[in-house]
Amino acid sequence: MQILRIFLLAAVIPFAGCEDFLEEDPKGMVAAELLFENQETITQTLYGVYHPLRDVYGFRNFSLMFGLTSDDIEYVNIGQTDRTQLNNYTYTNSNNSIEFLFFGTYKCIAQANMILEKLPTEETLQLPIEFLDRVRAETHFLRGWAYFQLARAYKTVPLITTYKNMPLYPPRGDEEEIWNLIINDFIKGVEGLPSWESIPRAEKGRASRGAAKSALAWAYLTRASLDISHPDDMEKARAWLKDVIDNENYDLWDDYLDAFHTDNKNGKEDIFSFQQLSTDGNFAAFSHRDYSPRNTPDLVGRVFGNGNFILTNVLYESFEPGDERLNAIVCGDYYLWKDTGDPAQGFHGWIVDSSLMYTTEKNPFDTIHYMPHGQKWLDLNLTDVSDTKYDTNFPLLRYSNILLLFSEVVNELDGATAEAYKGINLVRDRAGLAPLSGLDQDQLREAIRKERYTELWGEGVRWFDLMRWGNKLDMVKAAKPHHISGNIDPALYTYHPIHIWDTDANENLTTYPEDN
Amino acid sequence: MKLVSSQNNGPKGQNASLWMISIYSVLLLFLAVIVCDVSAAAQDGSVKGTVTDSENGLPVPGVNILLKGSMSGTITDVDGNYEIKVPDNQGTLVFSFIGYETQEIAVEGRTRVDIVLKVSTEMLDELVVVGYGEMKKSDLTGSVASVKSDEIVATPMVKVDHALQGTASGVLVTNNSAQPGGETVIRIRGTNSIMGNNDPLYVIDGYVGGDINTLAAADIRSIEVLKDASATAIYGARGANGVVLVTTHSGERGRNTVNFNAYYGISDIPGGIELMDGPQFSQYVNDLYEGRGIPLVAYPEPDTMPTYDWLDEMFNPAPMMNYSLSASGGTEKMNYHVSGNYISRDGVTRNSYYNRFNLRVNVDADVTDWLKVGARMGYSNADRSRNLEENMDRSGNGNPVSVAISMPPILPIFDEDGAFLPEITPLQGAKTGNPLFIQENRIDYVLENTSMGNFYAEVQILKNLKFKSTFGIEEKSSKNNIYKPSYVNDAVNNVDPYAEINLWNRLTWLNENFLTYTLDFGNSSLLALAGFSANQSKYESLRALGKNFALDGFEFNNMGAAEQATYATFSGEEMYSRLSYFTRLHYNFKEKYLLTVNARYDGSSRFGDNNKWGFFPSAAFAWRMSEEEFMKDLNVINRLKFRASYGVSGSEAIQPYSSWSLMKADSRGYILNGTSMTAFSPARLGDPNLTWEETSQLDVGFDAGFFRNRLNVVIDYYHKITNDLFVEIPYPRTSGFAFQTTNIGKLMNQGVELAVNWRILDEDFKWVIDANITWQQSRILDLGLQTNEDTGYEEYITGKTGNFEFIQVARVGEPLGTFYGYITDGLWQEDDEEFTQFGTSVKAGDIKFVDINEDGLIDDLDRTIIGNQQPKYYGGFSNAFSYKGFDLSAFFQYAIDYDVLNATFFTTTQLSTLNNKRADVVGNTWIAPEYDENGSLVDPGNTGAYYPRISYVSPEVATDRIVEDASFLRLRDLTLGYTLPEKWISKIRISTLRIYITGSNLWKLTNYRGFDPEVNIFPGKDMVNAGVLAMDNGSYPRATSIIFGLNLSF
Repeated sequence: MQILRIFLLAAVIPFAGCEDFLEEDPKGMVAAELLFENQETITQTLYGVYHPLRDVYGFRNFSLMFGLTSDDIEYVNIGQTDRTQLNNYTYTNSNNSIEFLFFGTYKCIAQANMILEKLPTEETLQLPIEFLDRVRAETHFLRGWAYFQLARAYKTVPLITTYKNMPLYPPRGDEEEIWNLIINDFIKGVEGLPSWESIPRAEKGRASRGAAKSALAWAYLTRASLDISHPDDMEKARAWLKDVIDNENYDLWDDYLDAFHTDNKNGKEDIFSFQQLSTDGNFAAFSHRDYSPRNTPDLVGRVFGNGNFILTNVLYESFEPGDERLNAIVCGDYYLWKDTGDPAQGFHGWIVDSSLMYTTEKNPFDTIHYMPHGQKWLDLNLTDVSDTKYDTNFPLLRYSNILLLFSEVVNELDGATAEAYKGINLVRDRAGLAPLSGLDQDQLREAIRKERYTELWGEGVRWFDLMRWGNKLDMVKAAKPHHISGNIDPALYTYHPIHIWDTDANENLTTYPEDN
Repeated sequence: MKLVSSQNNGPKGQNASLWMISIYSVLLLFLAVIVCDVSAAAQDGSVKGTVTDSENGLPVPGVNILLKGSMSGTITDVDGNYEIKVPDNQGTLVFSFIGYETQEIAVEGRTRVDIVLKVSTEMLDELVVVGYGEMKKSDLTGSVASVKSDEIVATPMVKVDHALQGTASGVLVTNNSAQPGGETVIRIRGTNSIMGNNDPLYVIDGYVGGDINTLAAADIRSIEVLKDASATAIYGARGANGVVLVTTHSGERGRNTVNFNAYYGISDIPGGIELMDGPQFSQYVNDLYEGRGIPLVAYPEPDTMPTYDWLDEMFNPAPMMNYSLSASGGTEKMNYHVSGNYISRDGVTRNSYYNRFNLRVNVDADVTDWLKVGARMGYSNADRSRNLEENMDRSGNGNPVSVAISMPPILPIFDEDGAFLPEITPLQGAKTGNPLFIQENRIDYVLENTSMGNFYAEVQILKNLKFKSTFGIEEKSSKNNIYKPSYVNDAVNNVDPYAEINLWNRLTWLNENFLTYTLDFGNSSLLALAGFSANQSKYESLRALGKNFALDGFEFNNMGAAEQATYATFSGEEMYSRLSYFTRLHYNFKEKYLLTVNARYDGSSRFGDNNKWGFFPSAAFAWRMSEEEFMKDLNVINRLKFRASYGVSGSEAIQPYSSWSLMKADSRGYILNGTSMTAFSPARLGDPNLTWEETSQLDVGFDAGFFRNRLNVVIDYYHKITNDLFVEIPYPRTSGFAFQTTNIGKLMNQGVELAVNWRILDEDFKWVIDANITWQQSRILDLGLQTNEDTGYEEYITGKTGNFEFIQVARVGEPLGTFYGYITDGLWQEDDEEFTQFGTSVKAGDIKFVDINEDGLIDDLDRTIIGNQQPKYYGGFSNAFSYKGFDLSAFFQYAIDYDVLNATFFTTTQLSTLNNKRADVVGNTWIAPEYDENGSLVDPGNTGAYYPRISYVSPEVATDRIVEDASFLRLRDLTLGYTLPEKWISKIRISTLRIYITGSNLWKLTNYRGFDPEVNIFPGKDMVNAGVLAMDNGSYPRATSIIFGLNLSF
């Protein structure tokens, strides 16, 4: 019996011996190295560079950070303190609406740096060199785009180009070096990316050679406005813009709203855009709802907007009579009480300021209670009035932007030559406006600036234009006199502050560039 | 049913190597024994007798009788009779029973021995459950707090961990949510970890890592809380946060009883936040217009505006009930406890509920005189509405309580027929669903199953060497069903019907094997224990979503009918394992000097290869001073024990796979050509050097008994240092990551615990006071960071609730859970000089922020420490009286000197928004004085107001206006009971019948400006809120309840 008991004891002891009992095997995830062995996973890792664009452009983030602080759109609800502060230029580095760009772009950069480090340089049976070259070029382009965004928003930011040994607490980098990287990355994109027409249908939305050329031109043009400008920046900008116009087969759609039509996504006018899809929670578009009026029908008769953002009065007044782009604006009511001024039906709306009530001859309605609501984000495919979907993309590079940039560059370099009129008159023609002629350089400059204003509103371009032209704060103050009053923190005159999260986490990082 | 002791020795002949399988048949066999009356033939050489009580002369059932020096024994039956085989009628019988003094009687040839057992004055020498065994309380060297079943059953609670609230010193229990089934946070001797798990380890009937909250309160015999390192170190890497040992009832041999407990009650909200009514709110909106310079009056006649009380409609009195039925008892060779329990409790908010079934079978059987087997098996099935915290995002969206608080009171709730309006048009923004209608019609509930079985076999290898092997399995599964019908318009899906199913399953097994050796040297004794343990757990999850269904009738039951195929399905897995070796030596010299040494060597799969194993030793010494000669003559002090211990325990509570840097595929990575594409992105930034958090703890304490042990006092001082803290530090986001988990940092916790039990009156009229208080303090000693140049401290700033961010600071030299924000100094007045706050020039009537760094601006450099979330003192006290059959007890609970961030207060006093406001805002807002043309005062305005001018936009930052003291004293339970006299009920064969009424949360004393100071809207389990215990952002209010109940046994 005694032996039996000891035997029983011995039977369970061996359990203790197995060391691999403590090994981990994460089945739902994979080590990064394993992704670089076939085309499919490499491509999916490349899509991982696009993924964080949603932090930057998705969820209305870009409109908040660069729209509300510009002179094209304004926030007319109250209650969202972050937005009111942006609108009123009282925002600080702890404003939660301005933190997404920084994190999102650096996620792109980290993923891009990882790909550039790990992507095989030698071709293999599974990985032909054309494939590798394209992935590399696309990665460079996207990294360049991220830094382009950062440098324009913050002037200088940490310059990180490595993944494995990336600096943990980097200080702001050198402005010159940042711009060199942007331009080099875009050049590599130009060299290795396919034309937009050759991208297969199923992959529409990926960066193309035309996008890289356009971005490169815009980067030269932007650098030309900086202290660190190079003497030939403008010339290079002209050359690359001309290249895009002459060689890339882009064109304007006949109708302004067609440029945003979901049928025309990634088509001839859409050089590069942030892709949105309302059925995908990660990439749903908010713009239409934000921009549509709250209690009156939008362009297709639906009543479900939030009326968060309206066009500023100054912008609205900038449209010339007969401008067909006014068709992309509805003047809807924001607050419902009627001409009697009697709110008897209940309190349905909210006025921020009486000066927001517009009475203009262009306003098709006859009361003082209507404000201009932009409709370019409308998904015209949807006609069911109960439908809440809106799949429009958020354009990052649109062909009309390129045409106008071209006119601008030529006018700055050569004055109001025939070539300088070319781009702007194409844009005006599409808008149903008469071509311009006979202007001097200054007049044409003003005309181009106005045209960019009325053509590109709401696309996040205006803030950068004003920064390039050096008149941001004056223009914004002029457009929002009812919002902006008193002292503005002088730091906000130019670049955005880096969010407090990032300056708290990295003490080498300053809120503003040194010479701000 | 009368049971006579059986001589059946059980299945002695079975093949012992198949013991695992045999357990089942053994169980069946012994269940059969219960049913059948097994009579035994009288044996030669036997002794019979009756055992009676010295005080009342009544027979005592269940007394253990052992023939000294042999393995044979028996117990008395219900009538106090026994019969035991005594060869040649020679030898000594040992009579023992809890609550009585043990007696030894020599048989000396007699065939009948009747004895009278003396009630023990030394009630304290009960057995206390400790890790891997039991110990006499007097032998303990560590700090252990015990909660017994009568204290557990006394409170109507859904989850058993509430029983620890206020009852054990050094144990802080906070309800995250007062919702039925809501989360509870338990902290034993402070918070050890910044981001690791701070929850104690639960050991249920020896099963390490069980889930206490799936148990029924009525099944629990005792809960022991192991607090110091000497007691917890036997659990090594998992013991750092303290260990809670839960023991469920097992039957007493020879005492068969059936117990029935039931209660029924009602709970409701005791009131709390008083909000504006319709006229007040309309006037506020008019004032807001005026404040913003709008020349219109929204409500020309505010006094005529109606009031719709949204808060009142959200809350309703809710019924609660609980029934439990159990049978327990046993024969000489086996005992059993079988029980069933049903609890149903509706929440006071609409459509919230918690229902649960529990079944339990506990069996122990002596198979042979050397083999004992047994099982503890429990099953629980819960059906509950999803908790408020689970149901909302960090901004508080989806929280019905905060929605109800914020709704403007002039918005109608019902249509003409009294039905909920499906949609409402808020004062601002688009038309939305009526939150009450959504709450009523949106389906969102969770089904949870837990099955647990822990089987053991105990082999007496030698007379003093025992081997025990246990094998336990716990399987938990959960299914969350969500359906939002098309007629409900919610903020996320609008009118699109939407379904979601979240499914997970966790299977854990544990095998433990250990030897126990005891040796008696005469005046000293030794206990040695050694064993090993293997443990593995696998978690699998599945989540499916569907949108746009043609029919609402499918609800979530036909995901294939979703028209929108782009909605993704998610699945995941997680597995971890542990391997451990442990040992204990306990040496007792002359019952005076006690020494315990514990050690455990633990391996965990969660850590990198270099750090898989950890060693956790402890030692403790106790001196029973009252056993010394010089103490024996003292009449006042009857018992005095000094204890000291030191040891190390660990915490491995980080997520599996944390040491890996891995890529994760997301099927919604980017959109190409209108289709979601898969993208790989980094899942986390791994650290292959991650290792244990190690807590070393010193404990010094006294146990004392005064006045014939009527007054018992336990006092302890503890000092804990936690090293290698897991910290998920805010990471420079230039890396692409916002956080990084790493082992840095050092934290200190210290405290003094005092527990008093005083039987003041002990005659017919009994009065017992139980009280405990804990003083605690924590300090961060090191964070492994560089000194922040702006502030001059080693710190990082974290924390988020709603729109409030960066509200906490982890700073060296300060406690964990420190609120960080701005100090205010009333309001700006008209003659104050011009000043810039947050980049804006101030106006009179704005809140005045204090310029801490005196740089002439208010910005983030003016933040400072404005409060702490951990109470400095906490505890509870109870008074229990009984007279004849009546009993009355009052249990109070308190926490003193801590702060809560009251985000609800902020939103209800933010005078620039159209949400409803607190009623006390009316007449207490800043109004400018008015002067006539000559400059003489016409109207003094209201410059002394507490609240700022209406239309002032208060920045959403933590300030001392919203971080407020939350100290409270609560009458948690008040119970009046009556036990019917035995002579009335014995005729109907009932042995005990007690009826009672209990009121819970009837009264509280606090200055807190919310529903309840005991809140935490976000369970502190993830990084951002680690250590956060005190956030009020529309927390579920604690209800007052009254229940009627009865306890019946026969």
